[in-house]
Amino acid sequence: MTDLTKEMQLSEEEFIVNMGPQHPSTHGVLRLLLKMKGEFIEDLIPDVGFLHRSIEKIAENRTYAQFMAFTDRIDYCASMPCNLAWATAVEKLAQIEIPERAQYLRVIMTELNRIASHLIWLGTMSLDLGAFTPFLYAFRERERILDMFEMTCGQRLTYTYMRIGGVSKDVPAEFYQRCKDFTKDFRKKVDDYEAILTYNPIFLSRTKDVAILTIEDGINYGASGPTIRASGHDFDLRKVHPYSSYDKFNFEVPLGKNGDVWDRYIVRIQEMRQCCEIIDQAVEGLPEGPIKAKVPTMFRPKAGEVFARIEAPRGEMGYYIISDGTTKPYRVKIRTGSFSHVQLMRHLCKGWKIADLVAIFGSLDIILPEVDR
Amino acid sequence: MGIIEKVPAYIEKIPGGGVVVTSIEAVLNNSRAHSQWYLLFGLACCAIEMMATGASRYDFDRLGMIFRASPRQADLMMVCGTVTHKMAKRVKILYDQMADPKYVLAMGGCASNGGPFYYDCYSVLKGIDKVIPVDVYIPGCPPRPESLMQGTLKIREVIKKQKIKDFAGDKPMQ
Amino acid sequence: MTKQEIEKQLQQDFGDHIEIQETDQPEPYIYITKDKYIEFCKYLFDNPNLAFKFLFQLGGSHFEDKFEVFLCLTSPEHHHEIIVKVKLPVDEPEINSVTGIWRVADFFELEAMELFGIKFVDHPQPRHLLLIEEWDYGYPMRKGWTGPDFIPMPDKSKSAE
Repeated sequence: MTDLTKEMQLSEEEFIVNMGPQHPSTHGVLRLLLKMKGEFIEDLIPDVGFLHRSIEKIAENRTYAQFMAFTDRIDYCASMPCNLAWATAVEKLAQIEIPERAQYLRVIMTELNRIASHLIWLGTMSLDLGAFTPFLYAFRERERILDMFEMTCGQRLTYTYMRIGGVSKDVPAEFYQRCKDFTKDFRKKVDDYEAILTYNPIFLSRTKDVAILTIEDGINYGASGPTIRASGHDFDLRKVHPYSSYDKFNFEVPLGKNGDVWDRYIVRIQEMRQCCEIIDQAVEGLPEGPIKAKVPTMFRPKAGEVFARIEAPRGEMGYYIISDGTTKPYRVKIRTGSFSHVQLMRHLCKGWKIADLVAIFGSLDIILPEVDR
Repeated sequence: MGIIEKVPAYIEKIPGGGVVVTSIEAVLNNSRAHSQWYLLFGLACCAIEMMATGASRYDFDRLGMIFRASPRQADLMMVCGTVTHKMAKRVKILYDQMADPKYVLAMGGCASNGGPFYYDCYSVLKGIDKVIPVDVYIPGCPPRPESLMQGTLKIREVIKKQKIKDFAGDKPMQ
Repeated sequence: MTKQEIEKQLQQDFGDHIEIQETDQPEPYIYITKDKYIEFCKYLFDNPNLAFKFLFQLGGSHFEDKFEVFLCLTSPEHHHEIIVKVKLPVDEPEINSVTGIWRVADFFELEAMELFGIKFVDHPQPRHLLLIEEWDYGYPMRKGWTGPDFIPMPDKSKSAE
C-alpha cells in the first residue's frame, strides 16, 4: 500500500474522525474523537456529558428514602445492584440490622439482575460485531427474568425495590418454581450462546489478542469487575468484603489469563453460570421472617460520613455520603465502574483500527448514565 | 402460495372486476403509515425498552417498523430518554437531517417534560418539544412496550389524516 | 492492616501534618495539610505495607467556611481502605493534581474543577467534561447556587398551612 502512495507522491496524513453522540455502536450517547493516521488510531478522546442529569445535586434535596428512586437511573440495565449500593451505604451509616430473609431476597434479585445486565451486554456486543442471532436469543431470555421481576414488584426496568432496612415486597408463591425452572433452562441456553460465538473463527480473529490489559495498568486506571478479572486479578467484592450474606453461598469467581477482548467476553459468560448457582442456593435456603427492619418514616441518621461499595455487574459501585443529621444528605458522591473504564479506552485503543475499537468498546461494557450521572 | 392462487377467484366476483377506485392520498398515506422506519436514537432508560420492543417478544418488524441508523433513511424519530442541554443541539441537527415528511414521538416522562428530573436539575432540558415539534407523547417511566406500540399506532392515525400538500412543500432539505 | 495499625504507622511517619478524624466506621479518615499532599499520596502508593494502588474516587465538597477534596483509596493486595481529606480555603481553592500517581484521577479532577471551581494545578488537560462548552453560569454544585433553567423543588411543608 505504501509503495503505491509513494509512487503517487502522497503521504499519509493525520485526520480527525468524529464518532458522534448518535451512533449505533456507542451504546448510548458517547462522542469519541479519533485521531487517525490512515487506518490506525493514534489517539482518542472521549467526550462525555451528554447524559449528565445532576443526580448528585438532586440528592441534596431529597430524603434518603426518596433518593432510592433516582439510584435506579444511574445504571438502568442493572437497577437492583444500584438500589443495593445505596441501601448498604445508608445502613452502614445508621448501623441498621437487616433481617435475614431480606438479605436473601436482595441476593436473589441482584443476581437475577446481573444475568439480565450481562444478557444486554451479550446482545449488543454481538450486534456490533455483526451477529444478529445472539441479540434475539439474549432478549428472549431476558424477558423471562423481567416476568419474574414484574411478578414481584410490578416494574420491568427501574424497580426501586429495595428500601432502607430491607425490601419493599415479598415474593409471591409462584416465584419459587419459576425461578428454579429458569435457572435449569438457562444453563443450557448459555451453552447455545457459546456454541455460536466462543470458538467461532471470525469471532476469535476479531477478539483474540486484541487490546491486552495488564493487571498493573488496569489497577492504575481504576478498572474493576469483570474487566480486571479477565487479566487474572482475583478480586471480587462478594468474596473479599462480603455484604448482604454473600458469605453463605458457594460460588467460583471466573478469571481470565491474557486480558484480551476474548477473555473479557468469556469471564462474563462464566459469571452468568455462577449467578445461577447463587440463585439456586438462595432460593433453596430462603428463611422465613420479616422483610424489612423498623426504620422511622422521617429517618434521621446521625451526623457523620460513610464509604461503602458493592460489586455491580459493570465494576465496583460505591457511595461516599456526608450526613449532617437531617433527613436529607449533605453530600453524596457516586462512583461507578464505567467512569474509570471510559478513561481506559484511551490507553487500550492506540494502534488499533476502528473495527477493533468497536470490539474493545463492547468488551468493556460501558454504559453512559454511569459515566455522566 | 395457496392464497395467491385463490386471489383471482375472489377479484372476479367484485363488481367492476380487478379495478379498485381510491384517492392517491389514501394509498400513499396507508403505505407510509404501515411502514414507518424509525431512527435508532436511544438516549437513556427508555432506549432499553425500545430495544426490547424491537426484539423477540414484542416485535416491531411485524408492524412494518425497521430501525435505521442514519437519519437520512428514517422517517420516525423516537426520542427515548432524558435530553440534556448538551445533547439538545445534536437532536436539532439530526431532526433537520431527516427528510420530510417526518414524525417525532416523545417516549417517556423525560422527553415529554423533564420527568423525574424536573426539579433541582441544572442540565436537563425540560421536554424535547422546546426544540423540535412533537406528534405523540407517551407517559411512563419507562413506558411498557405495549404503550410504545400504542404510540406508533397513534402515529399511524396522524399519518392517515395528512394531505399531500402538507408535506410536499418547497423547503430545501438540510 | 487494621484501622488502628494504619493510624499508628501514619502518625509515626507524618506526625505533625496529619489529623485523624474520630469516627465509628471501620476505615481510617485522615486529614492532611495541603503542602504535604503529594508527598503523602506518593507515600501511600509506594509503601509496601500500605500499597494503596487503587484510587476508588476523588471529589470535592463545599462547606460554609471551606472546601474539601476527598480521596477514597483501597488496596487490592491487603484489602484495606482509607479516606484522605484536604481542607482548602473558600476564596482560593487550589491544589496539586495526582494524575502522576493514579492516572484515573484525570476525569475525577475535571469533574471537581467544573462543578465546584476547585483548581487542580498542573492537570494535563483542563477542559469541560460534563457541562456544555458555553457554560458560564458559575459552579453548579456549590451550595446556594441558582442559574437559568434551575427549578428548585417547592417546599411542601408551607403549602399545608
